[in-house]
Amino acid sequence: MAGSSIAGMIVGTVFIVIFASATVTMVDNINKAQQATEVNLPDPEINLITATWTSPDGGTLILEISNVGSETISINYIYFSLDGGTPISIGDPSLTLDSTGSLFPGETILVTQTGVTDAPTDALLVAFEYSSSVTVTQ
Amino acid sequence: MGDGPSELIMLTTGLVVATIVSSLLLSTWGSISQGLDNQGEQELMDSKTRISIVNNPASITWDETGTDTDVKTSIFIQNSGKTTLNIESTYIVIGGVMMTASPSAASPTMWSVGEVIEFEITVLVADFNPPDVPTEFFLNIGVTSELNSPTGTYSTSEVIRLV
Repeated sequence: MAGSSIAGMIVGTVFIVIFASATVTMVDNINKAQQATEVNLPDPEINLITATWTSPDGGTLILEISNVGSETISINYIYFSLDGGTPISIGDPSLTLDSTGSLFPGETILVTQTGVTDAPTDALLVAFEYSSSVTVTQ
Repeated sequence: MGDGPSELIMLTTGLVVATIVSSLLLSTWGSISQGLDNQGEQELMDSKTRISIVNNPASITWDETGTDTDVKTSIFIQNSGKTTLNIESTYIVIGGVMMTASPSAASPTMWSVGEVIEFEITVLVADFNPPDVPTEFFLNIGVTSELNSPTGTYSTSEVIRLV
């Protein structure tokens, strides 16, 4: 009688351990599934404040760009296009800008492009999923 | 002492039944757990796979001149996710027509986070020939991650105006 009870308790304990282990594994997997909603994708907020075109010297375009978000972003990842033309990274060597390579939160920079012979109408700035557009003033 | 054999039979029977039921439960439990694990990894990878369009959607130039093999336009796509993307597996559909999209020679060979790839679009005029006036079309783009364990996928749709 005593031997049967002890055997039953041992087997029962083994089952409990097995089920507890399986439960822990399942909880881990559930937590892993929830991590998918916690992925922090790049979320910069870069505003194109002004775009000014002047005709002297073959046409010069000056863009005033400000980081109004909370993320630092490389200037190589910020693109602009004029009137639907080919997008250009503001880190392109053909442009002149007063930046060291990154645009920090709250920072405002000027980007100058020369040789813009035709007066553009619209300028669009794109950085990841954020975009900003202004009318070019002359 | 007289209850000994019957008690032993009941105990043995109970243990056998408990073992069978436990095996079935653990097997089911394991399948559910594995399924959750796989689903979690897939969702995590899908969440890291993301792109955004760099072109001005209000004005994308479509070149009607030239032959079928000439580039009609270029679509610039930025990797805005958290994982390197597979350039070759990218597909682009405009107006419901699958385009031939080839990365330009100037584009980087690795599509890492933040990088922009210029896809040169060619299509047979017989398959897609937008009108001369500016017209809106749906642009659908699909990408996959470079990593394939599991492969992350993402697709997006946006209205563009071809001019």
